[in-house]
Amino acid sequence: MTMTTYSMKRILGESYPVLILCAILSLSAGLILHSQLESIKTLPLILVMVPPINGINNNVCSILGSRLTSALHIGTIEPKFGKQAILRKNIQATWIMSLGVFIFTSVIFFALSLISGINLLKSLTIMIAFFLASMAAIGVTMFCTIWLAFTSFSKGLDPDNVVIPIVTSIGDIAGVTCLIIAMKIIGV
Amino acid sequence: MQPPEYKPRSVRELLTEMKDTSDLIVDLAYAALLYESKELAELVHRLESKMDELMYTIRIMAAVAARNVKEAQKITGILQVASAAEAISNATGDMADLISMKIGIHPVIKDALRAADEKIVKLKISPGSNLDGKSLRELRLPSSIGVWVLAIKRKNEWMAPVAKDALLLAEDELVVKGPLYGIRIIHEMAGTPMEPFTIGTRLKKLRNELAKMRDLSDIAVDLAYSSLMLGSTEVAEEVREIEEAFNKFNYRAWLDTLKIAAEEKKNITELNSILQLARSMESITDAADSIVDVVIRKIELHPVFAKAISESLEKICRVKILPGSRFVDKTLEKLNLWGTVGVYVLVIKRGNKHIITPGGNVKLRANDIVIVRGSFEGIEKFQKEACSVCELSGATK
Repeated sequence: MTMTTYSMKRILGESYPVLILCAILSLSAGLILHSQLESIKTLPLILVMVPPINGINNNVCSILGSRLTSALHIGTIEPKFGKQAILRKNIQATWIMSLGVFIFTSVIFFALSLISGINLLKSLTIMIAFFLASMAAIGVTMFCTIWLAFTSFSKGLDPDNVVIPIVTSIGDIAGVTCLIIAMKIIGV
Repeated sequence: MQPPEYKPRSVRELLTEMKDTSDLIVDLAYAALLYESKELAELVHRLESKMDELMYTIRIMAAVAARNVKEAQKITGILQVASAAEAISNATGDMADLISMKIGIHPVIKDALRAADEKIVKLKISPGSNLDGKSLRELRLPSSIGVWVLAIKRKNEWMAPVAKDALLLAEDELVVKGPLYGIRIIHEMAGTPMEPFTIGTRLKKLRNELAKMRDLSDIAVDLAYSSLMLGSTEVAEEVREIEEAFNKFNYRAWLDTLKIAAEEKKNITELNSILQLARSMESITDAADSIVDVVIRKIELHPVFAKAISESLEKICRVKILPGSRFVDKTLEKLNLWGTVGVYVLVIKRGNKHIITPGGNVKLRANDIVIVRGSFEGIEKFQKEACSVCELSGATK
């Protein structure tokens, strides 16, 4: 048991399975994007939207994931869905945090569309589509984050090595998928 | 020690269990001394090693839970309290060693333990009695007569802690604790005559000192936990005062014992058992002191404390006596709160004055704030009759 805490073998052994899973998840996100190549060609701005939606989504949910695992270990949150004041507060805070950031980015996209010569109405639609997509993505990723935090606590998995990598990969898929669905629905 | 298998248990749950175990193990150790019971001593040792395991696990969980310096500072407080609970269990282990190692127990120890406020008694359930076939849940002993069942012996094996809904059967042996009043009633219910509570008259001074030390160490621990739950430095300071009072008795008890040894020049092993007991009780009081250290240090207390303590078996609660309550202007002796509602009055706060462990002749007044210890139901009953609500929830569950 000595010297194993930070041994190369352990780091690799713990990380490889998770990283391979993450690679597969993120690759799927890329493939989903690729399958929509035709629509993207008509509105290249979508490509600009991918990094912000994924980045913000993943960061916000990673913060939540790491707060939750701490709270589970200390015992202020119990590993079950349902009425829990502290769990609710964490979820609310995450919503408010992402709401602020996404409203800010939506407005920037509105400006970008206008600058790139898209008319006012369409720019407005693009802005709304991006905003709705980001909110949906946050919802999905947040749910997965909570579930993963509960599971990692019940099974004694390393929260940093498991929860956060998987959360970010799920965030990638959720971000891309929600973005494309939103653009389709609004008919951009 | 083999690291135990991972079970998802939070720091809060572990802390609750450690507090409950440390409360229980102290009483069982006294029971082992009173009855010179090897079996009970063994039970104490079993609980002691369970405590070691809990300590190990809580360290692991606390290490995983800390993510930043501020959080880690608060968590060191939790670990300090956990260590104190473990120190208490180690002290009781030393008491149990007196029995397991067949060191003779001096009769004054038994007299002192009998003379203490809280009585600990072993009794057997007769067939067909009021306890035979009843579950603890329906009996509600703690909230009606202030009696707690600590351990049950069935088929030659002692079991502790006792489940909340444990079934009592004829021929079971029980270790119970409570006020004399309640102990009398439980004997009637069990259909066994109570052994007369004769307290020997020899060495009266030493006996009284030891009895006082047992009561004070008990109260110090209870108050230490309540100071933590209420986040109250006032209560914490009281614990310090109690510790000082304890130390005086401790000093006298050592002197008296040594004087006897010098005069009699015999029964040295038995006299040694007195010193060993005094030392163990001192460790318990020191543990209380290291708990309040967390409060006095003024590092913000972790919210887990209040939750963990409020979920433990014996609750602590601060209740205000409102005008119009039936308690107003009655003496504690007359009210017999311990024997009828199952709450033990630790402190009465009247204005700026604190009355620690008030005697029977103290009258309750309107607007007194009392800190009580008892079962959840008992405290609920007490609050209702005080026309009040718990100021800080020792009973939120």
